[in-house]
Amino acid sequence: MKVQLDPIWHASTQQKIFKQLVQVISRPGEIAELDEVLGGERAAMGVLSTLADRMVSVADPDGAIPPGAWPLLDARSAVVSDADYVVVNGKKPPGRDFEPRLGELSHPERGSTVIIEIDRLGADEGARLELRGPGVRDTCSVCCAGLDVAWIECRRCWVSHFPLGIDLFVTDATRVLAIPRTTQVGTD
Amino acid sequence: MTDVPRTQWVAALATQLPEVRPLVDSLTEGWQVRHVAVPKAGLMLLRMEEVVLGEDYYLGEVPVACSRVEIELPDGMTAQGGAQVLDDDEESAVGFAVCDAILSAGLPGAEKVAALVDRGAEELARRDQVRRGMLARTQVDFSLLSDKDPDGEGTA
Repeated sequence: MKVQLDPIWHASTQQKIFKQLVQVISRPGEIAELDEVLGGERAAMGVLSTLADRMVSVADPDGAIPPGAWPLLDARSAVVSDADYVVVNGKKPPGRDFEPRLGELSHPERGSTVIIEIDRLGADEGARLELRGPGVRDTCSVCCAGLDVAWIECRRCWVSHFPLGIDLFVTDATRVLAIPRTTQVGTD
Repeated sequence: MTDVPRTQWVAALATQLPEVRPLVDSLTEGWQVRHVAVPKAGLMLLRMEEVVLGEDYYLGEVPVACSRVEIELPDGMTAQGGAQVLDDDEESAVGFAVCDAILSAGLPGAEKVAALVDRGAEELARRDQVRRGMLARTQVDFSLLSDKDPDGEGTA
């Protein structure tokens, strides 16, 4: 009997994605290609399947997670202000009531990780982000097609009281880029 | 199809494991079977409540495997089933979950699964009887300890 399960739900795939996530969060601005392991799924789902489990909560204000994927994620559904992970559509600006958890001084690790889905990473179109900070040699420039720059402006507020803040993963169909809270981001 | 309640199907089927796997393989040929949740196998802490203060404590670890599946037949009919077993074998849990789906939805082959469940239930009843017999032999009659002793002094 063969039982179907998309590759992103297999532990071996999640280990490969996790290694890539560690790499990109260590090197902000570096883009990881996940196409080989995603099996046709979106990169955002690959990232979520790797990071989420029953110990964490996930907010999905834009309905990016298919209903059938929730039992596979095994994570609690939560509102944005209380979620460990938030998945959003980067084409739309954050709503006025969008307030991710920033953590506390005694527990900065409780800040949310926000996964922003956009059209295309690394192409010569869309918002150009200039990244500086730990893990970036001098500066790094990356284009994000389909990213509303309001996200970057809001992020500036959210990370302004380091170590509080959020960490970002920006994904397109098959690739992922990380912008941890330590990274300074400028826009054109 | 079977008088055994659904809550006991998996326990009954677990006694018939060597026959469950080939049966599931033959019944699901040409069907699509999907995991609804990622199957898991591992150790689970068994939580108990002590009777004096009613506080929780952990008795120990037990192996647990669980599975939830959805079956889709070529005609589009679908059914879901699930199983949680005291075992560390994920594949067994998946097999039981498939049986659960087949029997609960009355899919083709349900009568064969029902027959296995009935046989398993009989086996469980037999094992239960054996255990009761073993338990009965361990019972101790303490009544003499509370009787008055011949000198007329009560026991403490």
